[in-house]
Amino acid sequence: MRVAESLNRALHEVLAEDPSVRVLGEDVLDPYGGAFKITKGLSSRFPGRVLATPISENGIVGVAGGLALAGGKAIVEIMFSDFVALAFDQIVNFASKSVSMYGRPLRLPLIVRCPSGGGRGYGPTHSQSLQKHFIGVPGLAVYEVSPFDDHRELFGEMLALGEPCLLFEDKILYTRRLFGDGVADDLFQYDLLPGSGGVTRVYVDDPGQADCVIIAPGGVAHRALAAMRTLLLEREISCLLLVPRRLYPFDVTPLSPLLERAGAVVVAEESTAGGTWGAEVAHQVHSRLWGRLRRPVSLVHSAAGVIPAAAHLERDVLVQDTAIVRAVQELLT
Amino acid sequence: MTELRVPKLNNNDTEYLLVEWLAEDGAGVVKGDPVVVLETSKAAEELMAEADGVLRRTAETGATCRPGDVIAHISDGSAPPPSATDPGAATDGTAAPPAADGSAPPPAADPGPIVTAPAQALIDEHGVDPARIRALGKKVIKRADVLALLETGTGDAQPLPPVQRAVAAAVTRSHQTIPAAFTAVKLDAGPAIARARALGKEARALIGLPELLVAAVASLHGQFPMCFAEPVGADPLAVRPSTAPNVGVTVDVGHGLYVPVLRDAGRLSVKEIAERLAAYRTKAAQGAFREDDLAGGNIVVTLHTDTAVLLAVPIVFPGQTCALSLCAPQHEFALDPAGNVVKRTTVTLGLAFDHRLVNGREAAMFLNAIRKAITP
Repeated sequence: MRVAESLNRALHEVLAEDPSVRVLGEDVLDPYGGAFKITKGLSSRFPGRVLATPISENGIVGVAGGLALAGGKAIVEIMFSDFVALAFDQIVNFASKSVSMYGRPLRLPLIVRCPSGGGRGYGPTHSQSLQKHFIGVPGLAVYEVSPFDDHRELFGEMLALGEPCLLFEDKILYTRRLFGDGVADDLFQYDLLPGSGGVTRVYVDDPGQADCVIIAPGGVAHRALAAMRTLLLEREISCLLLVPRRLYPFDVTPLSPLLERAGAVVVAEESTAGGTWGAEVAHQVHSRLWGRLRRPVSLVHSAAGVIPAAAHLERDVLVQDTAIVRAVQELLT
Repeated sequence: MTELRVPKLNNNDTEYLLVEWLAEDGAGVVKGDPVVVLETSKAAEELMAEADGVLRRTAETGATCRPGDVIAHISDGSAPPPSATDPGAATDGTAAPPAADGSAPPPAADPGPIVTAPAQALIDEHGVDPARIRALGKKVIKRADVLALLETGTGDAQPLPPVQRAVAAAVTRSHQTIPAAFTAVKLDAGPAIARARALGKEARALIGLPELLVAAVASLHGQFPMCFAEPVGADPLAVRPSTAPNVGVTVDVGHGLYVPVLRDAGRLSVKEIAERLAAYRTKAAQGAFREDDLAGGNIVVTLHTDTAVLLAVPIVFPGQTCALSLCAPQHEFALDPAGNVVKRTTVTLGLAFDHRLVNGREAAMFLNAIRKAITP
């Protein structure tokens, strides 16, 4: 099953099971079913609960936030995550504060879905990874779709949280197949790290026997896997990949034993450097494991520039598996 | 037969990217089944089958297609379907589908273990039997696994790698068939090394004694035809003269001994010789020699540049008459014509020759002629 299909199926199940859930977004109605077909079939099956909106990101999220605060549950599709910046005010100044600023805790079950990332030649305004701008906001949870996850469970977790959630969905994943049965490919297997609350670990034989741990969200997972394959087959460097479902709030404690054993940690993300999720993770790792790591945590980012539309130029700017390979090698030499 | 044509998906784009086939080539599809994903500059779009039948793709994953292009046929049996052009696609519809997303295809029935590059190098070097690797029962074979295998050993003889088997055959045949003799001279290499350095600077190429030697040998083809001749038959023995000096030079960068040939080396400048030798060394490092590079030599120059090598007796290659050896430079004290002690650099230049065709006198003359050519 492809990731797009899995997300679509998960939404179908969420709407079928909970009549209080509404879906809002631009062009989400059938037959179009959203720019990436994630909302396909929903409006036909649940008429009245899927609302097509004008191009008005701030307005859509405002309505959805109010709807969630009034006892409903809302899932918003931002057509391209770049435009979530238009709804920044509603997310940061309204939704995230509403759960705590009225004197008693209030529930605001809202998911803002953000198709993000490059690699598709969509150019500077449709390819960014803006996760970092939403890290560290009290009352706001940030998630990222991964090809290892159960997406029905993911939506359930976010709605049950009762807080506004941003869900970043790397567009590159939509056409990729969902991993299943604990098998990533002929080399790697995966499972959930016990007690981690949704961190997938990917490894060859033994998750405890890695020379280096790579922490990366779901959109970078395939690139991390390619890097791990190269490192293992060409250099005999074995890596453990950790893919967290929730980026923020993020607690590195359950990861610490694995990180300490390896002594070398690389965090890879597609955003540009500076005030990033990866930097937050690195800080937490340093705070806990200072003196027990061989080197400081190494961060891998895209280049600091706009994302070109031409494929070969875009490739140069965005994080590639080669950058991860380089970072791991530099860390270990 | 129904054609699956690319529809006009938006007003912005004149072409779209074929991102993924959702139905296998040769698969049966039902009207309304999604069969392919096209991507516009803004979105992904699925196309549905417009009829029931067997899908035959005519465009591959990653192709750029324009509105109106036919990207597949859906055959209902009324006409023979055109064959697929997607190279990754299985034509019979039974093999594994190509991995459109670039990930590894699903493993075949028994793909054997995955071998790391360092492990593979060791396996090649020692000619380890693949069955023994497989018998380890590991998913990934690392260098340490191969080392352990080599150490424990089973007492079985290890077959030689192919390159060394070829060397062994040539050496054996040489010793069995060629009554070789050997003569060596000591060469005052100082002036030659200085000349090589000057030539190299001028030509911006890496020129040393080996390059000068190859050029000198090639220049003597007309003067010493017998040294380049090919012995033919045994009784009576005959010789076949050569038309041009094709000088083989030994190259060994650790992957085995190769003797690539500089054809008609008399026509090459020292710079060209240096460039071709450099190219051969690169090929040796990459293991990229072709038959053509190694065929047709009629004399061989063997290089023994390891600093301690004083003297080396090369084998005469079957089908040839002479083989030269150039050893490492040695430093020594000597007396100049005025009786003063001076430091000088020498090398040993050896000539192994088929004594049936060449006698000691001619061998010595050939060596002296080479010496003069190197240090005019």
